[in-house]
Amino acid sequence: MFANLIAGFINVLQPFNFLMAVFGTVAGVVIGALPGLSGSTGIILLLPLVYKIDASAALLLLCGLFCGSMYGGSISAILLNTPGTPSATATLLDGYPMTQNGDAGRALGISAVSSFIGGLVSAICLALIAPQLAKVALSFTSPDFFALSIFGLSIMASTGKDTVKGLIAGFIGLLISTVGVDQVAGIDRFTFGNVRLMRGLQLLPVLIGVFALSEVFTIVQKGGEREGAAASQRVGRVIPTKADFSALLVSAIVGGLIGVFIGIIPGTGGAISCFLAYQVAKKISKRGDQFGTGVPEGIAAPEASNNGTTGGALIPMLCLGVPGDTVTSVMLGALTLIGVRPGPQMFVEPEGITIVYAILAGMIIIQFIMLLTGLGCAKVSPSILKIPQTVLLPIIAALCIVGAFSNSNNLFDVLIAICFGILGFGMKKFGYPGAPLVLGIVLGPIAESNLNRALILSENSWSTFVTHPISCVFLILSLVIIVFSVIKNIKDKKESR
Amino acid sequence: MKDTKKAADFIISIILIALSAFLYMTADKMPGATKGIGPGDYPKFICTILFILGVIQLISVVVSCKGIPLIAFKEINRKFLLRALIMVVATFAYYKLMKPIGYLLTTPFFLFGSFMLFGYKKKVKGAVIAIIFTVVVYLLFTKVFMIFLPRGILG
Repeated sequence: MFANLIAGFINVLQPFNFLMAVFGTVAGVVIGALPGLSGSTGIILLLPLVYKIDASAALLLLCGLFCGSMYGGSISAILLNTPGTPSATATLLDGYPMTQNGDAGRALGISAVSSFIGGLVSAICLALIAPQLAKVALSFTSPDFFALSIFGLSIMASTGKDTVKGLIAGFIGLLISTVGVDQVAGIDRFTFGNVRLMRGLQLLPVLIGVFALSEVFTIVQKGGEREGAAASQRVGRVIPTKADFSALLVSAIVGGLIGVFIGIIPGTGGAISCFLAYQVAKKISKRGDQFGTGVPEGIAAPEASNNGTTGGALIPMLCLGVPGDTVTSVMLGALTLIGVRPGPQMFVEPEGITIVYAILAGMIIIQFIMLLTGLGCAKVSPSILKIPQTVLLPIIAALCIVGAFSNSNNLFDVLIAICFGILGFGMKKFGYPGAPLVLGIVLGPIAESNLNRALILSENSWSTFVTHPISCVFLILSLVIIVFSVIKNIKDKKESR
Repeated sequence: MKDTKKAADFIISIILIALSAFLYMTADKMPGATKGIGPGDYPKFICTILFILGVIQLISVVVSCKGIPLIAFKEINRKFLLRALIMVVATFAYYKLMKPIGYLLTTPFFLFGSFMLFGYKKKVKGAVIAIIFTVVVYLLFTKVFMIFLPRGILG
């Protein structure tokens, strides 16, 4: 493992790979800072580029963007009292008061250093845990992989406000994955005589539609586009003082560990971990009563925890092929597009090992890039927030169209992107989450092939899913999760009445 | 807003039930397999679950509303919904015109028109941004990614 990690570092430090990691991180910080744009939108906008480069470089770009956007979300939380991403919601509780006290630079500096510590903790945990978990996952058989797909879908479906809607979205995704010529029997499925549907619905235009184009339509419909925010505060000193550093260190490490733990649980993410870390930091801090007035620990804990989730969320995605959150579900789709199939096999196949250890080493290096970007960009952060959405949104729409076209130089893919953009817009409007839909499309073929293989090997006996202990556990867990989240939904609805 | 959502859920659940039943019947015509699953079995399995989910959704809406919900469109902000619709139509027109007219000629108009639709006030700056963006993306795709965007009448 150690030798592989060293090889990973050498791979990451190749000039082009390193450049892509830097580019991804900087782009992530900018995208994360802009309210309304998330890391998943950023990943999708960069997909046409990802297609054209080597898999390791592409993954470093995506990981950089993932980590950068987590930190970037804190910039608008601190300067505007509006989180750039949901993961930065808890940061504004102490970040904005510190800005109001005239210490905007100090808050940004604390956020950058804490994000670095949280990210580093999570990258180390990723490097230590992922290879071990993959060893366990190598013993998985076809029934286990089928059950794992159902488990991933159940978890993703039950994280929203309405589990039934999440399940509907997920199963529609599974159904969409069946469109086209069946790989085994060569039979047309749901093409209805349309030749262009024979190759199935391509993932890139679907991703562009559901996550990026729908975002544009939604912001326009809400009338929420800004002319550019008036964040013109003087930023001041950015590098944290010794006193600030010693105050934030414990909160940041604890926040980072909480982030890793929450990130590993599929379907969760930074939005949950940031509040949990904030509460824990409030309890362990000597000045817990001052939280909310602009204390360093109040910024450090949520920022370290949301960056902590990055490495945590990558663990189930890399080892099992089940994403930890929405961004990693989009990342899973992106990996599928470039021909990388995450799962335990990646940890044993020579080509897979190169990619996996490039990610593990890259995640450590990206934290240093993010720290330098964060501290370096702090002075110009107010300018990033001045980019008007009235200009940004049409540009994103045009990039979506060109990106969908680049999939296979085919305007039919553009039509698919627009249709899924409208579908995604409607889904958002009426509370149907997009992540389970995409996960369904990605996991659909895996679930079908493993279901088929499991039934062939067991002479069409469905009991094979119960007699295999791992598969049985995953199926029971799926059922328990769905039942509990439906009960919780009903309770929440009753309380809100 | 809640009534609008419930009305939408009601309509969506009916569409879901009808669609899953139709697709089930379509999949049912596909050949089966003696071992494992045939090409139609997996879609049939998904359609069955979608049908059940549609029924659950329908029952939950009808029970929570104590009847069929009436659509409360009054609560939708029509002005902004109209703007979203214009944006969708503009995007669709951009896609339709890109092939015959070409990327280089359609994109600046699409961008400039959208800037104005969203209320961007600086017309000259907007036009400059639209042209620069179009050219940069064109060069990036054709020279770096080697993806040839539709040239249309310039071709």
